[in-house]
Amino acid sequence: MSMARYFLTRLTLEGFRGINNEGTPLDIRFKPDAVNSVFAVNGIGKSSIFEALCYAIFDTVPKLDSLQAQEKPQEYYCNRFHSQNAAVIDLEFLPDDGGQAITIRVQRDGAGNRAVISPSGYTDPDGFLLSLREDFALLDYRTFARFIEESPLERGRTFSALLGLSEYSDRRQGLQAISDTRALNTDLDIKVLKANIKSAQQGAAQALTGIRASYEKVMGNPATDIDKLDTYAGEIVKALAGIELLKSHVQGKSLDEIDFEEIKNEIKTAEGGDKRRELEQVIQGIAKLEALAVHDLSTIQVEQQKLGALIGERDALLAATRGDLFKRLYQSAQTVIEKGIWTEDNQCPLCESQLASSISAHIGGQLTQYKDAAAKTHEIKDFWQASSWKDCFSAYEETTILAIDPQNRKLSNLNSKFTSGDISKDDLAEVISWTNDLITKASTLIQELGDRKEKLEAELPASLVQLTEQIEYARQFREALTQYREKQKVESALQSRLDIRERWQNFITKAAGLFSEAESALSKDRIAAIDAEYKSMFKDIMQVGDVVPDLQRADEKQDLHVQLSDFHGQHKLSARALLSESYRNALAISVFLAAAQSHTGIPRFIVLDDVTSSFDAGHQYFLMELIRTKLQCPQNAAGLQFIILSHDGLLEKYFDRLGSTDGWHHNKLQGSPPMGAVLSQTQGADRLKTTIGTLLSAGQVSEAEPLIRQYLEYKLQQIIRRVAIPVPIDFAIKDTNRMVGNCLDAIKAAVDLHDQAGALILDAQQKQDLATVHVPAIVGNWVSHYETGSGSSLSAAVLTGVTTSIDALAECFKYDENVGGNTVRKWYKSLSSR
Amino acid sequence: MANFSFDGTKSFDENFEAFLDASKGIDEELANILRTNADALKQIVREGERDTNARVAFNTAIADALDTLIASSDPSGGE
Repeated sequence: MSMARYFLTRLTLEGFRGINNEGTPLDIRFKPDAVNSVFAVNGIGKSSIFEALCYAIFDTVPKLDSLQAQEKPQEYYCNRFHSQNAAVIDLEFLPDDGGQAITIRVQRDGAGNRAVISPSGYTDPDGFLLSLREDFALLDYRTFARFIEESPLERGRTFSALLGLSEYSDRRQGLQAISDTRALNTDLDIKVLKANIKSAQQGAAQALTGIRASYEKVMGNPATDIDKLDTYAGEIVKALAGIELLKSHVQGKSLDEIDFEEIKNEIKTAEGGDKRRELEQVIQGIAKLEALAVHDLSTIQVEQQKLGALIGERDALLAATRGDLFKRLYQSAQTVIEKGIWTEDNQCPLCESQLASSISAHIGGQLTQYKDAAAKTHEIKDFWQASSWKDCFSAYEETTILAIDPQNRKLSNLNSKFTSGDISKDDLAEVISWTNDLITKASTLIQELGDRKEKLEAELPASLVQLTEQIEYARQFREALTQYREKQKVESALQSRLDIRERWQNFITKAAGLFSEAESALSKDRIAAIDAEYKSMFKDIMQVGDVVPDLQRADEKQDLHVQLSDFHGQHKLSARALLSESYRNALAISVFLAAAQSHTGIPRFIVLDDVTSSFDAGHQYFLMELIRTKLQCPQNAAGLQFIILSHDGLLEKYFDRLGSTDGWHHNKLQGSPPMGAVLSQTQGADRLKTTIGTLLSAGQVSEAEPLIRQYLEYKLQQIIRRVAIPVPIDFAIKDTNRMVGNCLDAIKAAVDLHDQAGALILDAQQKQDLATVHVPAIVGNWVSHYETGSGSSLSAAVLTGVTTSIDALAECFKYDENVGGNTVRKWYKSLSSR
Repeated sequence: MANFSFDGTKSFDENFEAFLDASKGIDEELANILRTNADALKQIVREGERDTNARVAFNTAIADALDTLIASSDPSGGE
């Protein structure tokens, strides 16, 4: 059993965006079995209607979403002149299975709180609105216009919306964004993790060197197997425990538990003195300097040469480019070409001279040089960051034994230069020299300390000298072992984090591919399913049979190409090269309508907001006729309900003509937003008149004036429509502020013409009242005052007379007819017949 | 990884749900993380407009979830 689909049958609106209508909500009814049009000149609130539907159904107003936060978009939902600063949107939906109508009320208060209820008692009003969130429910010009984009990629992106696949397109792009390698490297710190792992590995290797050296110093034989480090630690404890002086400090303890400071104090006590302390310091100093020896100077020299070569290569690449200004020029030119703004590949976009070679290839070549230079700079930075030289440099500058003044240290500045890419060959030479100075200084110092150690050892008892050495190296063994284990632990933790990130990278890349392939297939299916339909609609709108468009989506890509499978007998031609904007508009709306017709979502209505304004007048007409005769329910049994919003004056003539027929329901909005009320004509002239009377009685002349104008326009246009008075072709698009005068002129001209021809149906009294009383009263008390911009207001009494005059004027076009014994007041059929 | 396709008669939400299920065929644990963060994924591209901050926020949430996954699968309770 298929689910019920819903028509939109009523919208009432108060306090939202441009619609104030405090106490008298704008009330528009839509018929499910007719095309519904809503016309308003610019500034009357038509956009507010579309935005109200957007807000109610999609919980968004795109125009406000695009504002910056500092523009405080949240303050522009509710009408700024509504005293309660509160919006109420009431919607009524009628199911197409004969069920009861559902009413939904969406409210928003000044603080931005949204509340949804169902006055008709529907149990899940929020869920109902969610079910209406379909691409086909609302189409505004902004979305529509983007389909007309020139580039295949941009077209492909927006085309998804026309096929009802915008959510798929957005989600696929989202998945692509998060699976992008560069984004993952940055966002998930993958590069940083790799660098940190390498650093931890280097730290562990250095610690291991220290372990081996100190073990040999204590035990006299090398530590060859790194899997036996615990055994080596036990052997050291055992060796120390064998020394009588130390026994009480070592026996029964692990290496970690031994207090080496206590042992040293014990030795000092055994033989105190300054020379003992100095020997200890000298040994510590030597150990620190020996630790520096783990850095392989030959590797560092190779790295220095490599960096020199890389800097040379970078300099050569930079020299081949033409500087930053030209880079920006080439980038701009590439954008112009890629977006399809410039299509002459053998012509210069600047001077328009002809070129012997391709401009895009030239720009591509130039930009490649900049990219190569940037890549080389990056390579230099990465090489430096991962180099042994950097670690060595850091160790030499920071070791306390060399006592380098922090102000003279160069590492920080050097890092900055490598990171920014500013490192030069001169910088490199200076740093190599500084490195050599540090190494020389360390080498000299270790020699001096060695000499001093020999001298002190000669002066002190040999057994205790050796013991002091052993204790110090045992302590260093423990320190190196601790460091080694810590580095291993850090490396292991980092490796786990890297592994799972790479696992995610693999997963999300495959998942994005899975989604993309499925979306591409769905898009192709949709295009294939509507192929005949959109081509038929295109033909109906354009009224041509020998121009046939053909949509093709590229495999694996979002690009959408539009070809012409037939162009006046020629085949497979470029649509872009041949089709005017009007044709492209027709193609876009054909695709959208064909896709909408084949869709079976919950909404069975389509609201088109000013979509037709980009069409030529003739194509607007054929589009409307297509909707009216083929797409609208019930002409099309499976058809949709159309609600067309427009500010197009010429189109309104078409709406107005059809508005009194069964298949068309027309609403015209008039009023004075954003402060005053907006009312639809079908909302009831009587209500308008009552409001005018109330305002004038209270002396609120300026508030009543726009409503009087609205009332006059309504009544005069009603006369024109009812008795079929012809109007000039520019009637609807002439100055709308003079509409009352325009209407009176048209009525007066038609009456005079019929009178002179002896065909006027009006009786003598009506004719006389019209010419001598009512028209002069309205011209004198309204047209000549308000349509000439005199500025001041007339009195309430005069304006009350104007409303009386217009009612009396309308009566001049009616007659009494006896129907079944009752007298019925009816409009003349025309100026010459009943 | 099995072949996967969207059902043209179903809503986007239903199809996205089916996609999340299908992604379990690639890696079930990570598919669960993707599902948990599906709402944040929505924010990255809306009406064709990319939001870099939303992408960074999504990946930050993923990184946290991945670290939590490591900790939960580490018998020592992780660091």
